[in-house]
Amino acid sequence: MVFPGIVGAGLLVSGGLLLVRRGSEPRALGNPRALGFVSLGVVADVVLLEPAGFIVASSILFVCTARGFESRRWARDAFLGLALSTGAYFLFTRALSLSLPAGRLFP
Amino acid sequence: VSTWESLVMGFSVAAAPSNLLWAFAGVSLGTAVGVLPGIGPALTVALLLPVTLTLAPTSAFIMFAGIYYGAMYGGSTTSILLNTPGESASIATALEGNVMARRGRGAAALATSALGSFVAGTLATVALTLSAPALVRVALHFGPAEYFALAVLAFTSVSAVLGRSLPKGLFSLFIGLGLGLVGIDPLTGKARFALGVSQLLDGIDVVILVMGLFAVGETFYLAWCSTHGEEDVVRPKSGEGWMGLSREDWSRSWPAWLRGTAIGFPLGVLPAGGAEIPTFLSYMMEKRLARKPEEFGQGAIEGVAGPEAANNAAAAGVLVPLLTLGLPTSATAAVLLAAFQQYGLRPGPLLFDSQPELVWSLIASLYVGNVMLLVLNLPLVGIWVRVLLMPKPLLYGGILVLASLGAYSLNGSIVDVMLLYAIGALGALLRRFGFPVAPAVLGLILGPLAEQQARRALSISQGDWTVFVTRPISAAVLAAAVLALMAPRWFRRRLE
Repeated sequence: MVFPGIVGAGLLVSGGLLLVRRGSEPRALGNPRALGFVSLGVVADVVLLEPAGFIVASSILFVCTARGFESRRWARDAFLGLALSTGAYFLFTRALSLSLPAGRLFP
Repeated sequence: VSTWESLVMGFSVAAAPSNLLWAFAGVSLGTAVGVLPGIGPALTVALLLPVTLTLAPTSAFIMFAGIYYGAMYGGSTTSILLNTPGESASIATALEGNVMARRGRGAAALATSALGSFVAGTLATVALTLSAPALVRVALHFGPAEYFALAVLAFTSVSAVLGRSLPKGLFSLFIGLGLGLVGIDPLTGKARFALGVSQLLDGIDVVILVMGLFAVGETFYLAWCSTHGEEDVVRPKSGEGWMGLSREDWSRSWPAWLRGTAIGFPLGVLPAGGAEIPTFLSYMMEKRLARKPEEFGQGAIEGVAGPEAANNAAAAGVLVPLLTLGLPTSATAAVLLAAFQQYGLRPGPLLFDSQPELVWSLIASLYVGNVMLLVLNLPLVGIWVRVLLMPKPLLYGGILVLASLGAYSLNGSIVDVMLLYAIGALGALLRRFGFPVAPAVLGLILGPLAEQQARRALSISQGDWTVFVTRPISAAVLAAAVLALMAPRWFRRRLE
C-alpha cells in the first residue's frame, strides 16, 4: 500500500498548500442557464442511450448542447444533430463494426 | 540496419497511397482543430482513439502524427487572426502576429508562420531522425530504477510548467495518479479502489479520462463560464506580393526561423512541458537581437517567425522521449502514449527493434506531413479562416456526441458514458479554478507504469529504497526532477 499512500499524502499536501495560500478565486456562478441546458442533454443521453438508441439520444444531446451555447435555431440544430448521429451510427456500426445501442428504431 | 536504410524503409511504407491518404486526413483534421479555438491536438487524438479498435496501427499513427503537426500550423492562424491562442504555445505568436494582422499585414504574418513552421518542422524532424537511434542505444542500458526516475521527472516538470501555481499543478497530477490506482493491482491481483463496481476492475480507461477531461470538460466549462460574445476576426488581405512577404520580411524571417528551431528542438526533447517555454524564450531572444527592437509590440515579423519555428521544433522534440523512452512530456504526447497502449504497444527502445516498420513510417510521415501542411496553409489559408467562423453551438454539440459515442463503443457499457460525464464535470471544475488538466492525464497514463517500474526496481534491490539514489543515472534524473520543480518559477520571473 505504499503507492496509494504516497498519492494520498501528495493530495493532502498540495491541497493543504492551496488552502493556506488561498488567493482570489473566481466566485461568480458563471452562466447557470447554459450549464442547465447542457446538463439536461447529458442526463437525457445517459437515460435514453440504451432504451431509445444512439440516434435519438445523441440528437437530443446535440440540440440541448447547442441551446446551451445560445443557439436559437431549433430546426437547424435538430436536423444537423439527427444527420450527425445517423451518419456516425452507420459509419461506426457498419463500416467500423463497433456496436452502438440501436434502440427500437432499427430492430 | 543503419538509420538511413530504416528511414528509406519508413518512406516506402508512408508513401503507399492509403497511408498518404491517412496522412492527408490527419493534417487536414489537425489544421482544422488547431484553427478552432479551444480544441487542440490532445482532444482530437483522444476523440479518435476508438478508431484504434479497427484501424491498423501504422495507419492510425500516421494520421495521429498528421493531427499533431497540423494543429501546430493551425494554432498560429487563430493566434494571428483572432488573438485567442488555442494553446499556450501560441501565445507568443499572438503578441506580434495579431498586431500585424490589425495593421493589414495579416498575410505576411500567416506566410512567415507557415514557412517558419515548415522549415522548423523539417529541420527538427531531421534532428529527431538522427538523435532517436542514438538515444535508443543509451536507453537500452536503463533499468527499472531509471525508468521510474524518468517518470518522476516528467511528473514534476509537467506539473511545474503548466498552470500558474505549483500546488495546483501537483494537485492535478495527484488526482491523475489516484485515478490510475483504480483497478486490479497487476502485481498482487488485488482490487484497489474499485468500490465494488465490476466495470472498474480493469481500471479507468485512459480514453475515457482524456475525452472526459479535454472534450467534455472543455465543453462544460465553456457553457458554464464563457460570455458567448462576438469574436473579432481580422481577415487577411490578399495581393501584397508573393504570399505577402517582402524582400525585407524574408531577410528578417529566416534567421528567426533557424534560431527558433535551435531553441525549440532541444527544449522539446527535455521534459519541459512542451512548447510554452521555448516559444517565450524565442520571443525574448528575437526582441533582444532585433535591429529595430522598438518595433516589438507594433507588429515585428521576427516576433512571429521565431516563436512559430520554436513551437514546431519543440513539437518534434517531444516525440524523441516519447518514442525512445516511452516518456510523454506534454498532454498530446500522453494521449499518443495511450494510443500505443490501445494497441498493446509499449514505446521505448525495444519498439525500434520489435516494430521498426511502425516507428520509421511514423517518422517518415512527419516529413510528408510537413510538405502537405505547407501547401494546405499557404495557398489555402482562406479555407481555414472559414473554419474559424464555425458556429460554436454546432461545434460543441458535435463534440459531446462524438465523445459519448467513443466512450460507449469502448466496452458497450453505459457505465463508461457516465464516467465520461463525471470526469468531464471534474475537468470543468479544474479549469474553472485554474488547475492545469495535462498533469492529471499524465498521472493516469504514466502512474501505473511508474509504479510497476518502481516495484520491479525494489524487488531487484530486495526492498532497498536507496536503489533510486545509488544508481548514478537514476540519481541524476531524480535531481533534475527536483530542479524542474523550481526552474519554471525562476523562468517566469525572468519573463515578467
